[in-house]
Amino acid sequence: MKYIFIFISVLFFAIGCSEDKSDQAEIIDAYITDFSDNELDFQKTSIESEDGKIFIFFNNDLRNITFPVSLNADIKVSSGAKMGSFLNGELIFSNPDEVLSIEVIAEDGTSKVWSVFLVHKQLQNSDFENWFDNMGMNGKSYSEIGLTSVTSLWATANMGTSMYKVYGTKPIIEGSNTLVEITTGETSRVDITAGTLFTGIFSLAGAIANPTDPEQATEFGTPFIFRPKSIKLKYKYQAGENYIQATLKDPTSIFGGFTTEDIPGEDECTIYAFLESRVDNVITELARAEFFSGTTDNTLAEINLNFNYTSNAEPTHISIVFSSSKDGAFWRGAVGSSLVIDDLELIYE
Amino acid sequence: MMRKITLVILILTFSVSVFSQNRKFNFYPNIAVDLGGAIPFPLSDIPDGAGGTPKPYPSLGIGSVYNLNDNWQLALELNYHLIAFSATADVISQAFYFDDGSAQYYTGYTETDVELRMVEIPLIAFYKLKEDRRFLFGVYYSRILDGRFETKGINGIYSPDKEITDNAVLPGPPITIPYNFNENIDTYDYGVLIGYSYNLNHRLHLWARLNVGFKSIFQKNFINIDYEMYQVRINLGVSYELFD
Repeated sequence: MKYIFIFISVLFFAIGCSEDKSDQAEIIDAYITDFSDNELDFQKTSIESEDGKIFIFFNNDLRNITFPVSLNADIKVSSGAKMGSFLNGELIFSNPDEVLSIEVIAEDGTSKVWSVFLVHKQLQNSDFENWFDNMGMNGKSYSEIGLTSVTSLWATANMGTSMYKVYGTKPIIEGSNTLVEITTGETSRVDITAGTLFTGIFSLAGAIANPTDPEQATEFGTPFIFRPKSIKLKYKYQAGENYIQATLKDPTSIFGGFTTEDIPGEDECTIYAFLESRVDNVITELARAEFFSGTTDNTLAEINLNFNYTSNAEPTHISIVFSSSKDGAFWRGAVGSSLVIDDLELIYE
Repeated sequence: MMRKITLVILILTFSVSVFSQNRKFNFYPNIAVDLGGAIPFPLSDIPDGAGGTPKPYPSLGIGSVYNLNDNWQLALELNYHLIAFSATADVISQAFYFDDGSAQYYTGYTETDVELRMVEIPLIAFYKLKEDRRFLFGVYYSRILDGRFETKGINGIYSPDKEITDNAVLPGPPITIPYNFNENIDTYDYGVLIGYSYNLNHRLHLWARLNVGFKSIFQKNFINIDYEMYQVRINLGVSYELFD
């Protein structure tokens, strides 16, 4: 009995002395100490731990800077963790839209890959030239905006409808130029699916968890600290023929299907942008620019939408949203409505 | 439901009071551990390689036993259970049906977590095999107070076209899609139980029971999936008779 007691005591002592190794592979601070081009006007960095993203803000239009650009960064990681890459502290970007990956290894060996973005006065891929092949829910390949699903600051609802081989947002290649076509369609389950393109993240989990509320699938916004005067882009629009309203038979369930009726009027596209301050879970809209149109245009027209500022605070995020049916989130629109856009630019004083 | 539970408590209380007049009754608390959960039915719907991990939780209860004769006893209990388990499976073209009869299929890896909190009322007959051993069998009714049935499809292929999911090449896109059937869990269940009891002494009994549900834990109108889920669990416990 005495030996059992001693054994148990030793066991408890050993357990008490042992220390679990941390699985934290976090970046807790990142600061740019030097850069290769004196014209660069470094502002600050921002870390989004949940998504593993670091944003480095420059008060420049990086399209006017000669690349590659080299940045020396001082990166601090969580206790016990170490850098798995980026050991010399130098980040080299070959173009403004490039997103670098750095690996942090936790004390217990857990690895986390972080994406490093350059944020400047223009948005990544704002000419919409970059697209990549993505695998849809049905296992088939389709075109998605950006260079990869992890690094694109733009999102579409294509993944959500990929199960039905329906892709509401597609590239149109005209020679060396790529435009975006956003269309309103339908699937065998939903009588109207408005195409969309926005800065932010398409949340498939949000879509599945809230199938009766399409807006829950969109997480608008990307980090941004500047105050543009307006947003300029090229667009053309053609509304679909039959303007319809689909209504859930059971408002609490999408499984019951829809009833659909023709309604008066015509479909309209929507283009809007808003700047927000998101500080300590308090979200304040600072400025908004918006545009709706049901007018059919056969050629691309340039529009300039002014931001209407309601605050002098510094923005933390910008959301830019395009949809081929303004009220698509309410299952209202016209199948076949088409919005084509190209060459978005943020205009400053 | 509360009326039924009150009725059972009254019966148990009545039994205790009768006991003071009649030595045929006894009264006992019990404590046990549940292992198991629910399995798909028909059993052919269980995919090859599927695995389940029960999460053992204690159950507590009270009971009253009536001595019918030297060999037979009859007991009525009121027990509180928390049953939880997780399961993983690789499924092929698992269907999810919409109300209009159309379907969507999934092929890929799944993880499922189930949790049921319930009050169970078993009616149990004991048959004495030897002086210290009893065979037991009975029926139970349980009121499900709270239920959770959550499953995730991980890196799989989805399509309304079964041919696509039948021939899916895995892994699919690196996405996890949660499906939540919490709202579809029924409020009650019933079934049978069999088991064995060993008397450590004349008041302390160690026992094992196998409970098998006779109805799906899902509501009758939940027809969106191919299979039903029936409770199957082992209950290991001990009870202590309060009176000699």
